[in-house]
Amino acid sequence: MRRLVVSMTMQIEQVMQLALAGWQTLLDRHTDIFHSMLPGARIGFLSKDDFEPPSAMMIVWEAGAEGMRASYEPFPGFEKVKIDLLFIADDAAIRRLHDPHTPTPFAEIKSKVRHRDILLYVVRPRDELLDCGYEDFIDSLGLSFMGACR
Amino acid sequence: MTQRAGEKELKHLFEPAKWLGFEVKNRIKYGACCVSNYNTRDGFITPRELARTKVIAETGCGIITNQGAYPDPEGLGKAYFRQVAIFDDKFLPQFEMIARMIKDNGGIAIQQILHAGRYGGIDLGYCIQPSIVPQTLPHFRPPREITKKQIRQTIKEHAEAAARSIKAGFDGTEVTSFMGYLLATFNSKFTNKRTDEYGGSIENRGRFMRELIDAIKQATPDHPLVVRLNGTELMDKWGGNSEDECFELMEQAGRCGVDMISVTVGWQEAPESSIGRDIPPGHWNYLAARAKKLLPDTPVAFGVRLPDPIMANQCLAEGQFDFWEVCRPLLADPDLIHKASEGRLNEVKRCIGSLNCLSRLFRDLPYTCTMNPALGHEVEPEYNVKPAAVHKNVMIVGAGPAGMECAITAKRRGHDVVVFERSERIGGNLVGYATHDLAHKNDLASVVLYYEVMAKKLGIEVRLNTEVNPKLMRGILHQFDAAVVATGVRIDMLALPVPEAPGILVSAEDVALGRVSPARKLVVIGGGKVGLTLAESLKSSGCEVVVIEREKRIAGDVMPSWKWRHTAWIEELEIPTYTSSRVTRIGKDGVTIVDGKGEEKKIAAEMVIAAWPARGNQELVGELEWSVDELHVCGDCSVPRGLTKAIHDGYLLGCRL
Repeated sequence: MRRLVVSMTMQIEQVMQLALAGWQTLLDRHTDIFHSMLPGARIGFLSKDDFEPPSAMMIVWEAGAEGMRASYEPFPGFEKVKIDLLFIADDAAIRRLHDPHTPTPFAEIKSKVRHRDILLYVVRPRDELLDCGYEDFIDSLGLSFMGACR
Repeated sequence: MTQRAGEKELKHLFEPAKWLGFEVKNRIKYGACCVSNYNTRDGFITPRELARTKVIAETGCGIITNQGAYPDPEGLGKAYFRQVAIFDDKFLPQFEMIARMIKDNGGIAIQQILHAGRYGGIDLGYCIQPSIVPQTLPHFRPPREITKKQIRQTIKEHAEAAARSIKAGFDGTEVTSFMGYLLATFNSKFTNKRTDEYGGSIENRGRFMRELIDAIKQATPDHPLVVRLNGTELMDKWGGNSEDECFELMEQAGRCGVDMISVTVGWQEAPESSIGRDIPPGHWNYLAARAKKLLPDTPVAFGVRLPDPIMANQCLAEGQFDFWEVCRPLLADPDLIHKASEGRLNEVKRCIGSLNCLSRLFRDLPYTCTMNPALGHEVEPEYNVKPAAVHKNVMIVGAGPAGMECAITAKRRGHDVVVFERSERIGGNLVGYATHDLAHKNDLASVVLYYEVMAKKLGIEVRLNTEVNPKLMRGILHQFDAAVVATGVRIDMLALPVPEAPGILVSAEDVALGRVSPARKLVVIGGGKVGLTLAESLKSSGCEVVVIEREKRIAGDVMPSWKWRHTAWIEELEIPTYTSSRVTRIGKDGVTIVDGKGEEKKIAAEMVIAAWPARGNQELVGELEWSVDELHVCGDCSVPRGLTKAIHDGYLLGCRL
C-alpha cells in the first residue's frame, strides 16, 4: 500500500514537473487565443490526483507585457488561490496538452471540458473575466452557456 | 358530473386524489420550474406577475406551485435579479392574491421557498454553500463557506417563510434540492467537503435537509411539505452523488415525513442535457419509478422531459408516479389541460424545447416562450386577443410560422382570413429545418402540424400552390382590406462569388426542402443555425461536409442555451469548420476560402450549399403598396431573426389588425 502511494505521488510530481519550456512553447504557438488578455490574467492547471494543499502544485499561465508565461506554483486551496480560471485534469490530459506533437491542444481542452473529462472552475466572476480580456478564451472553449438547466 | 371525452381517455390523469386532508381534482401539479424574473429588484410581486399567475391559476391543475421565493433578507438565496422574496410580511398582500387565485380555481396552492445557494447572491457578488468549491459556470458568483451560525439562521428563515406562506393562504410549501441550489449543495459530495456534522457521510450530508424539513414541519404542522430532490445529479463524474446516493437521500427525506417528493434531474453544471429537445420524452421516467418503488407511501411527482399528457397518463396507470408535474408545456400552452380534458390534444401548442425561456433567464431577462408570445405580457392589452372593432378581409402571403400565427390570431378576432402560399404545404422553411433537426424532430414538426390543425378548425382558407404576383393581385383587387407579407427569407446567392459551373451552388432551402438532392462531398457556406442544422443532418446521413463561417465562431444566431448543442454535434460528427473565413471562389471542384490571417485555402466539393446570407423576401411589399388599403410586413421577411421572432411578430400583428 505504501509503495502504491509513493508511486502515485511520484507520478503526480512527474506530471507537475514537465519541462516549463514545453508549456511555454505551447503558449507561444497559440498567442491568438490569449491576445486580448490583460497583464495579470492567470489560468491554472491542477492534477485531478492531487489538488489538496499543501502538497498540490499547479501550472500557471500568466499574461504579462510579453504574452503568456508558464510557471509552477504551490496550490494554496480554493479559498486562497489567486487565479481566474482553474482546470483540473487527469495526468494523461495534462501530458497530451504538454506534448508538442498534439496537433490541436486547445480543441482537446474544449472537448474534454465539454465532456467534463477536464473540470473547469471559474474562480472569478464573469464580469471580471470579461474586463480582463477573457471573452475570446471563454468563448473559444464554448463555456458561456454550458449547463444552465438544459 | 359528466366526464368529457379527454377525461375518459386520460382517466388516470384526471382522476381525483386525496392528499393528506385535501381533495385534489386531478393528478396534475403545476411545477415551479422557473423563476419568471417579472418582479421588482427588491422582491415585490408586480402586476405583470399577477396577470401571469392568473393564467397559471386557470390552467386546471390540481396542485399549483407558485414560483420560488427567496427566504432571507440579505439576498443570499436570490438567484435572479427579479425574483420574489418572502422574508417579511411586507410581501404578503400579493402572495395572498396569488393563493386566492389558485384556490378560487379549485387548485391546491403550494408556495416554493427557493434558496439558490451556489447560484444565489446575485446582488451580492458572492454566494454561500457548504464548502468553497468554485463555480464551473461563469454566470454565477464566487462562493463563501456557510458557517454553522448561518446554517441555523437559514433553517430558521426557511421555517418562517413557510409559516408566512401559510399565513398568506397557501395550503402547503415546497423546498427544492436540485440544480445546485442550497439544499442540493449540502446533499452533494461535489460541493459538500465539510468535516463537521454537516459533511462527510451521506447521513451527515443529509443533516441540513433533515433539519430543514423538521423545522418547516414544526412551523407548519398541519400543512403539506413537498421536497424536490434529484433522482440523478449528472455530476458524478466529478465527485457528485451517484444515483444510488440520490435515492438514499430521498429515503432520508421520506423518513422525515415529507408529504410529497418531486423527482428532478441534473444540475445546472451537469455536462449532459436533461430537458432539451435532444432528450427523448420519457427518458428519465425510470427515476420516478424508482422513487415510487422506494417510497410507496409517499406521493411522488414527476415531469422532467415528459411533456405529453398521454405519456403521463400511461405512467400514472403503471404506477410510476402519483402526480404529473408540468411547467414548460403550460408556458407554451396554458390551455393544455383543458384541451386534454376535452379531447382536443391536437390543438395544443407544444413546448418545443427551444430553451428560449432559460436562455433569457440566464441573460437576466424575464422569461418568454417561443410558442406563446403572450407569456409575460398578459397584463398588456396589446397582447390580448380581443374581437376586432372593425371587421376586415385579410390576405396573408406566406404560410410559414409568421403568416400562420398572424392568420390564426386575426381569425380569432373575427376577421376573415385567406392565406396564400406558393408551395404545396403550410410551414415555410420550418418544414425543412424540422426535417433536418438532429434533436427530437417531432418537436419542431409539431409547430407545423398545429398550424394545419388550427387552419382547418378555424376555417382559415389556405390557398396552396398559389403565388401572389401583380397578375393575381389585379384579379383580386379590392377583395381585401389588409394584406400581410410574411414571405420569409431566402439565401441571397448574388452576395456570393459567381459559381464557375452550373448547378454547383445551391441554396440551403432547396436542399432542406428536398428540392435538390445533395452530392456526397459538400461545402456549406454559413455556420449559423440553418447551415449547422443542414451540415449535421447531411453528415449523419453519410455525406462529407465542411462548414465555412465568416464570423469568429459558429452558431452566432443560435439560442444561447442551445449553442453548446450545435458546437458539440459539430465536434462529435467531426465536421471541419473554418471560421473567420470567406469564400472567394466557387469552382466546379470546390471553393477557395481566405481565412482571418489572409491565407488562401482550397476545399474540394461536389456541391456548395449556401446557408448564408439570409435576405427577407420583400419584393411583394413594393408590388402591393398601391393595391390594398393596409399593408403589413412581418416575420423573417422584415428582418431575419428566426422562429421565435416570426411567431411573436405574427401574433402581435394579428392582435392589432
